[in-house]
Amino acid sequence: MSKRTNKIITIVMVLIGALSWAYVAFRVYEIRSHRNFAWRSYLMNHHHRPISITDVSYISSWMTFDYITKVFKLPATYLKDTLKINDSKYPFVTLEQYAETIGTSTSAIIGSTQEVLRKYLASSTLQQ
Amino acid sequence: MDFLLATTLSYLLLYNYVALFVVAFLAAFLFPLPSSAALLASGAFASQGFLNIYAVLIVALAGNILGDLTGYFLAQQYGKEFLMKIGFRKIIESKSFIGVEKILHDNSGSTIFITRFVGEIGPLVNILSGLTKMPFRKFFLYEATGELVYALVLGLLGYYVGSTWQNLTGTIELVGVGLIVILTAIIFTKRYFRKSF
Repeated sequence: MSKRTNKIITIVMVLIGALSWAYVAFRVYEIRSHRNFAWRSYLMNHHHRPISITDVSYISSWMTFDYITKVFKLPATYLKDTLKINDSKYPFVTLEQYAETIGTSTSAIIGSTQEVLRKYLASSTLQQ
Repeated sequence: MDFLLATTLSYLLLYNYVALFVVAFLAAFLFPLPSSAALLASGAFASQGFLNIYAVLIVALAGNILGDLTGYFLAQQYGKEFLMKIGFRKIIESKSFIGVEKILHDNSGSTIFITRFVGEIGPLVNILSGLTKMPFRKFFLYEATGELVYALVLGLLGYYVGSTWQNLTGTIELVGVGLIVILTAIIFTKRYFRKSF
């Protein structure tokens, strides 16, 4: 078998394999998250526009206050004022690090953050 | 979520592109870091406006390519000498190693390309390529192409799925295993065709 034929077979097999796996993985993901992706409308709605999130259950211990403030589009010192944070590293400190600093559990900090976020999102929805 | 991934994500949020570069570089070089999940997460952070997607793709690509090349060149320059000094002479000079060298050189394209998508195997292939003195141009061609596709696929996938990116981490590992199965099938199929014809 010539080298060229060899190469073509390799490329075709790699492409078929990769596409098959990509399709399987995509379908698995779609089923697991109960979604139906509408490619065109998604791209048209979200192209060049940051996607904000409103689900507070997304909050995790590895997140920083800076990140939470930006993705939930909060005022810059909202979390610092409402949670009464005195850490000098704020907002560049993770929830876990902050919990360790003040000697409380990470789940307590996550719960408090989720609570203030819910109130903020509820009040901003009412204003709209 | 495991400790290593959580720590990596914290560093990504604290040090942004510097952390992404370091994780990509070290994972491509040799260290078992969750670079796939980090790239996926970085794409998601970009969709949320926290990072810039173009910067994420460029930084991840640069880190991966430089990490691969570092492993390749170090193995090429010092690999055999070092392994022989620490007692691996018999393995380096064995028939099995020569067989592995032949398989790698006969299937360099598919092996290097596909193993870019499998975090744990990629660095080993880089080192083997260096140890077996694979020509640099050949190695770089397949390595850079693979890393480009890898960065684009994972970065844009994270950008597309946004805040639900964590649902994909298990799937990515499954895809990695699947790719290794495909690579093995390619190698055995080619050997079968070669023997038959």
